[in-house]
Amino acid sequence: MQEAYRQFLRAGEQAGMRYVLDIPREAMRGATGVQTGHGAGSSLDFKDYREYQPGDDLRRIDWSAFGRSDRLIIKLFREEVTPHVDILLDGSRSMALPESRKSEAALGLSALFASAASNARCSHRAWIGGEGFREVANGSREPSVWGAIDFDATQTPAEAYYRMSPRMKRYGIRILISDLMWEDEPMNLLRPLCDGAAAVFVVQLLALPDREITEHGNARLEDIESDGALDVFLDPIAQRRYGEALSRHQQQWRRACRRAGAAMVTLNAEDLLDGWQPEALQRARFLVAA
Amino acid sequence: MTPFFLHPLAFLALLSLPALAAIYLLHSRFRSRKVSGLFLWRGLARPREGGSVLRRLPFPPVILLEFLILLLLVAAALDLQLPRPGVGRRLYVVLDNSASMRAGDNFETPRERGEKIVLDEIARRKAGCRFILAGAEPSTSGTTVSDPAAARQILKNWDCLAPASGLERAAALALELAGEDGDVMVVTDKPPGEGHAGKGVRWIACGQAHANTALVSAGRTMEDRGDRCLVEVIHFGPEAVDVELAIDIQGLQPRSRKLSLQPGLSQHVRLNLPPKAGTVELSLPDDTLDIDNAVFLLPEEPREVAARISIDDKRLLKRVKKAADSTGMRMLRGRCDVLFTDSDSALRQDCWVVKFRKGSKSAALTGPFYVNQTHPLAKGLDLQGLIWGVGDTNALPGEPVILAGNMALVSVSEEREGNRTVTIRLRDELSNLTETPAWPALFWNIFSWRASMLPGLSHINVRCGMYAELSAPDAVKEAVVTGPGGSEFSLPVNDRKCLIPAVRPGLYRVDYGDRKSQFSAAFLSADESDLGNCVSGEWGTWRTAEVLDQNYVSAGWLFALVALGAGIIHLWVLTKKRGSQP
Repeated sequence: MQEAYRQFLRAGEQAGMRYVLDIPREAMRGATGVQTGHGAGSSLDFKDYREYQPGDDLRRIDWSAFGRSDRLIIKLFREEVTPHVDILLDGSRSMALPESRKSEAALGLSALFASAASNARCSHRAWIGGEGFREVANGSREPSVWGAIDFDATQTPAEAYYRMSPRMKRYGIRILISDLMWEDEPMNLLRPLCDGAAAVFVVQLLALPDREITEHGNARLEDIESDGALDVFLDPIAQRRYGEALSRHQQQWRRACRRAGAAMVTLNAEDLLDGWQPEALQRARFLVAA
Repeated sequence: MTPFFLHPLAFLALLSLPALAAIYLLHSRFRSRKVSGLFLWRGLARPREGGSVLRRLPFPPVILLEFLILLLLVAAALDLQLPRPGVGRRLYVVLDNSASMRAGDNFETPRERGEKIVLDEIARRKAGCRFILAGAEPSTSGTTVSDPAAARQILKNWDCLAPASGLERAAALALELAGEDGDVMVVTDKPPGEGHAGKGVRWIACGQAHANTALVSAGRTMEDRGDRCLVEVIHFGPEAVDVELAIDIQGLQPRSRKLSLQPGLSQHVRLNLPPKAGTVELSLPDDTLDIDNAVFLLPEEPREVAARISIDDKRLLKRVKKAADSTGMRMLRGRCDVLFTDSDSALRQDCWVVKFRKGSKSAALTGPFYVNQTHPLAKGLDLQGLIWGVGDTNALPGEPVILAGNMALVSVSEEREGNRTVTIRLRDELSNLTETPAWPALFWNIFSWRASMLPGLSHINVRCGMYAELSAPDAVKEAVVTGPGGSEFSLPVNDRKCLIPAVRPGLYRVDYGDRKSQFSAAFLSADESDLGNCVSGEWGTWRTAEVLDQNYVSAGWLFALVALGAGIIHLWVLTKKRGSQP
């Protein structure tokens, strides 16, 4: 990874210090930790009483209640868990579109989520999609020490997921950071992504060249991933039609996310890099201020 | 006349063609742009429905139309001039016919260079052309020609033998002939004077400055002890030269005289000839201009008048005899050319008569006297202080020459066979006329006039460009002239006179009736021999606007009109194309 990229990891990590990942209740599971989970555990926080059932830990029997009621009552305490966050980063070439700052924003946003997850006392793991999803080296540690992340894949995240799916923890929070710029049915990715997840956040990261067309005249459009090309004449009509197509594509993803139970937010890479103020993520309750 | 472009600089406008091609190339060039995904653009890839994808056609009709419009506009800007069929602007060519145009040794003469220029211009113009030879007097040569072959025939008359070039007068004549409908071209070896070349008059000089040695003056005078010759030699050149003047006197051994000539200074050579010496030929070595290197000087023939005097008045007889003898032209023997008499009985029909009318009255006239100065008898007459005695007042016959009031004192009448009768009203005893200088002068005039009417040439040694005047007997109607080189031509004799032009230098023989005469012509012109002021160059311009108006018709408007039509079609095509787009 270029050293220039690492500074965006650091910047995202630093920005993430100001936020805490808003963890849904369903995600309060995982390894023993410091977060109070839904289930009964071994913490000091009393939760409830219930009848003894065979197999219960005899040390949890409330002998005082047994003396008063002659019934074996088990005293339940709250469980202490460490929720887990899987950050899936789209590693396709389109994330490093020339003349855009999408790759920098993607790296920074990943680091921001990782840092916010840490603030929420969640474990995290970063994944990068390429010929399959692979774990980022040191992806469970602070972002500044993450290993190489390259945006050079020619496959879409959906194809990468099917080629080699990430080994994500069940009941964890899954965050997909991508420009979503592929034509495949969104559910093909969202369905496995949401399977076994406590929550799925889809962050669409678009750069200015993705959103707007300012050029005029003949242009040969070259797909950065497939090397396909298309000759078009760019004029206001074409610009309008592209905007409509992009809007339809986003609508399609939003509908799919709703169906799959995921939440989707669209961010502008340039806006994110300009001050690291992800208000959209806060509005969508992905993050809350620390 | 060939078509030509009035504004050839408009060819630069052809650069707009590659510029247009470049614009189209740049316009149709597809700039490469990387995108995250093509699927969002596929909706634009349907040309007719989307209307935004260009199909690169190899030859878009609109480009061809625009190329055509540009070409037509360039053609319109060039303003192609097409020759007007059957119409041409006439050309009047003034040809310097002076001898300096012959100057040349081993190189092309100005005349040859000028001929090429003239023929080229005629071939280019293909219009009527007339030639005016500018010699001492301008003269038109030949008819109007319009092709070089015919012009070449006429240009054979351009012999360049004239001792002077009256270019200004010839150009003025050409301009008068040309008027507003023609152009004038002057071909010479001299630069134009101020204002001579200008719009409509192209002055083309083809000369070249050279050194030249020339005989510029030569004369032979008749003396009792033998004739004398005087020649003047000048070297026109920047440096002094030594030349050898060859002297060949007929009947004597040829000799030569070495002359050291300073630049521009003349040197005179005098020759005393023995009595009855024949033709003298003086010649210089060959140089740039040969025509001025030799002269022939013939001995003058004495022209004596056979005068008879038949006067009764003794006093008058004495005065008449004395005056007649003083002229030196009186021949006493032989025929009777003129008869002086004071009586009607002595009158003759076969000769001139000078009749003195005495009369019976007495009157002395003191003037004023009116003299017809144009008459040959009036040359040099001074009648101041004269007392003219007359004896009658009857009218005198013929044309009055001297009058006192309304009374003719001397009159001349023409009789049969051209004889003249001079009537002089005079009473000598009452007059002092015979004692004044006017008396011998009057007799000199009578003898001289009579001598000029005698058969023969008035001058034996003439300059080129002049005329030798021949007086022939009354019966002779034609004179045959054999010029230098054996060329022979006939000239008519009118009123016993014939003017023989001395065109070429050399000896001329004249046969008229049963008589023969000879004269020589010498090219003696210092102006033409001086080749130092000969130049080459061109001055003046054609009358372009008039030439265009008369000879050519502009085709530029036609191209502009077609371009306009093509432009309208272009607009229609574009409008239709836009209208078909959603």
